[in-house]
Amino acid sequence: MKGAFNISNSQIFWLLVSMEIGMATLLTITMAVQVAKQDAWISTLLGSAVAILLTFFYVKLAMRYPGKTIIQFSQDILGMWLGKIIVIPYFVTWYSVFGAILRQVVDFIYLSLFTATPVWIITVVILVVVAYMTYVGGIESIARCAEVIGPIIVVMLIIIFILSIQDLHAKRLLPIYADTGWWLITKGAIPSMTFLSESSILMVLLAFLSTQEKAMSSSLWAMVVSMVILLDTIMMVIMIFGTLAEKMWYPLEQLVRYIYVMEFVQNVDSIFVILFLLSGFVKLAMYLFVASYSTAQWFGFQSWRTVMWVVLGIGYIITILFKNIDVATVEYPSQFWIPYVFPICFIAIPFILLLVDVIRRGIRIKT
Amino acid sequence: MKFRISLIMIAIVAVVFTTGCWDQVELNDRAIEMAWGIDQVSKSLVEISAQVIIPSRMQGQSSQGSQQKTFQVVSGRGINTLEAVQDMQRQLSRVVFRSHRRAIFFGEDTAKQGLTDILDTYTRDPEIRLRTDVFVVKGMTAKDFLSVSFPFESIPGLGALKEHTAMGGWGTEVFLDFLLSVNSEGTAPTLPLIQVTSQHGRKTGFEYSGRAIFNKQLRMVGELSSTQAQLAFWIKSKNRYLTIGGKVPPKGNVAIVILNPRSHIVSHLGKKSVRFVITLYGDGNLRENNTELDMSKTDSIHIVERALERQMSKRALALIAHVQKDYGEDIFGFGDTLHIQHPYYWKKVKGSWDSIFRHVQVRISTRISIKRVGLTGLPLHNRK
Repeated sequence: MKGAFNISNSQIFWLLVSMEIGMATLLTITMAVQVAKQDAWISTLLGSAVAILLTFFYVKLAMRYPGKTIIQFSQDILGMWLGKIIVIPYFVTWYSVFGAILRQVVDFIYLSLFTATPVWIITVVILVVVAYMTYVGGIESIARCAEVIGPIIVVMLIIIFILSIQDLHAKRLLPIYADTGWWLITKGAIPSMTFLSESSILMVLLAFLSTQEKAMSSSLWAMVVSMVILLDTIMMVIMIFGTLAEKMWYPLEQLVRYIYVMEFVQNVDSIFVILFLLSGFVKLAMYLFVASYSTAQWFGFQSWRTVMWVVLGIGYIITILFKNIDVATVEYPSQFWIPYVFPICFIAIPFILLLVDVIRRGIRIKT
Repeated sequence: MKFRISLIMIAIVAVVFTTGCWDQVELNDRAIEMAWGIDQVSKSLVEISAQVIIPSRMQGQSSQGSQQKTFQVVSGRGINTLEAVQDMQRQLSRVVFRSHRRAIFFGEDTAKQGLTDILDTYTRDPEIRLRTDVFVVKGMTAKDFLSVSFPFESIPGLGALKEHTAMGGWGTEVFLDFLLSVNSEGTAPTLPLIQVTSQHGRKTGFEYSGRAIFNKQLRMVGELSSTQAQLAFWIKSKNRYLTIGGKVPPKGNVAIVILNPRSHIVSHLGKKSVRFVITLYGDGNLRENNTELDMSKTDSIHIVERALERQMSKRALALIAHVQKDYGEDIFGFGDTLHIQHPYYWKKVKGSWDSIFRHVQVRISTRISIKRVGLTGLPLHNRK
C-alpha cells in the first residue's frame, strides 16, 4: 500500500484543533464541575497540561519513524507478532469511539433541533457525508476540510464569548481552592486530560505529513490553542452558571442559549449546533479514515476503502447499541474511556514502544 | 466512476433531509406564548395558563383593532406542567410555542405551598430558555392575573417585565439568579412581586410591588415592599439604579438618582459570632432640591451627602434587623460573602447558617458622592 497522502503542517494544526474542541467543550465541563465545583478551571488547566505533555511524547515517538503509522512502527520496534498484538486495543478504541461520537452528535442535534424526524435518518445523513468525504479523498480531503472548518469553529466560539461578556460574574469563581482541595481538583482534571489526549491519533496522522520538521511545533500549538479555548469555555460557564453547571448536560449550549444582547441578539443556539456538528464531522471522518486505513495495514489489505464500509457498519451498530443518552454521553466516557482507553492506549502502549525503541537504538549504537 | 455517481446521488437525497422539513412547523401553526402562569389548584393538580398572541390583531392596532384584545388567555389542568399544557392544547388550533416566553407567574397561594414540585420542566425542556423573568402574583392566582389587560402594552405579561426592569431590576436574569441562590446555602432565594391595581372595583393594571422571600423548601415566607427590595438589592449590589429621597436638616428634602449602586461587605469572625461590616457606595445625580441650600457650593453638596448617608445607613440597618427577626432568611447573601472570605470557617457553620444569621451583627456605613446637581444652583423660585 502506498502512502499516497500528503498533508501540511497547518492542516495538522487545524485537524487537531477542530477535533479536540468540539467534544471537549461539550462533554468535559459537566464532569469537571461535578467533582471540582468552581475550581474546575484549575482542573482543566492541569488536565490539559498533562495532555500537552503526552502529546509531546506521541510526536517524539512518531517522528522516530517518519512516514510510518503506529501499526507499522510497532512491528518495527517489537517485531511482527508482538507489534501486531500490541496495537489491538487501538482498534477497539477507534471502532467504539466512532460509534460513540456518532451517537453523541446525533443525540445532541436531535435534542436541540428535532422532535419528529426519525433518529436513524439523522444518523444516516451524517454517515453518508462523512463516508463520501473519506472515500473520495482520504485524510487529505479531511485535512483540507479541517483547514476551512477549524477557523470557523474558533471564530464562532470567540463571538459566543464576546456576546456573553455582559453576563459574567467573576465572583462565582470564588472561593478558589478552599472548597475542594488538591485531591478533588486533581480528580477533576481527568475528563479534560483523557479527552484532550485523543491527540494520540497523531501517531497515525503524522505518517502522512509532507514536511516532518515542524510536526512538533504545529501539534503542540494545536494543543495549546485547544487548551486555551477549553479553559476559556469552562471559566465562562462557571462565571455564568456557577456550580449549576454540574447538573447540565451541555453547559456550553446553555450558555449560548442564554445569550441576549440588546433585545435583538437572542436565540442564537442554532449557531452552536452547527459549530458542534462541524467539529463532530471532522472527528468522525478522521476516526473513520484512521480505523479503516489502520485495519487495512494490519491485515495487509491493499485497499483501505473497502475496509471503510465494514467500519461504517460496525460504527452504525455500536451507535444503535447505546440504549440511551446516559450510556453514550456519561457511561461510555466514565466507564470505558477513562478507566481503560486512557491508561492503556494513551499512556501504556506509547511509552512501552518509546522505551523499547530508545533502548534498542541505544544498544545498536554501542555495538 | 459509476460508484461515485451513485454516491453523489445519495448526497443529493441527503440534502432533502437536512433541510429539516420533517420537523417543520409553520409560523401560522404556532401559538406564540409570551407569559405563563402556574397555579397549584390542589395537591396533585396544576393549572397552567398562558397569554398567547393573536397575530392578526397585533398589526392593525392603530386603527380599528384598538378595542380588541391582542392576546388570549388559555389554561389547562393536569398532574404536572406538560399534562396541563396538553389539556390547554385542546383549546388551541396552533401548537404552543414556548421559546419566546419572557415571564413566568406564580399565584401567591402556590408560592406559599412551595415551588419544589413544579419547577423541573422549566430547566429540563430544551424548548424553554433559562433567561426569563419570574413573578409571584400578590393576592391572586396567576390565571386571574394573566387575564388582566394593561393599557401600556399589548402583551400584559411583558408589561410586568418592563415594570420590573424600569425599577432597576435585572429583568430576565431573575430565574437564573433564583436557581443559583436555591443551590447555595448562603443566600435565600427571592422573586419579584406583582400586584393588580384597581379603582372603584375595576382592574386598571398592575404594579411592581417588591420581592417575595422564599425559604430553602421554596415556600414563600414573607415579602419586602418595593423600597425595601431596592435597598436589599443595593446591599447585594444587584440594582442597576435607584432613586432615593431624604430629609436634609434643618428643613427641606432632596432626591437623588444613584446610577451605580454597589456595596462592599467584609465579614469578621468574632469569638462567638460573625460580624459583617457593610459599606454602600453610590454615585448620584441630584435631581430635586427642596431646601435652602445653594448647590453651587461644595459645602452644601457635602451637607446633602452626609444627611442622605446617615438616613440610608439607618434604613438599611432597620431592614436587615427586620429580615433577621421576622423571616430569618439570609436574602442578602451574607452567607455567600462569608463563604468567599472565610471558606474554612464556612464549612463548619453552613449547616446551621439559618439560625446563625438571625444573630449576626451588622454595621453599615454609606458613601454617597453626588457628581452632578442638575441645571441650577439655588432653586430658581428661591428669592434669597
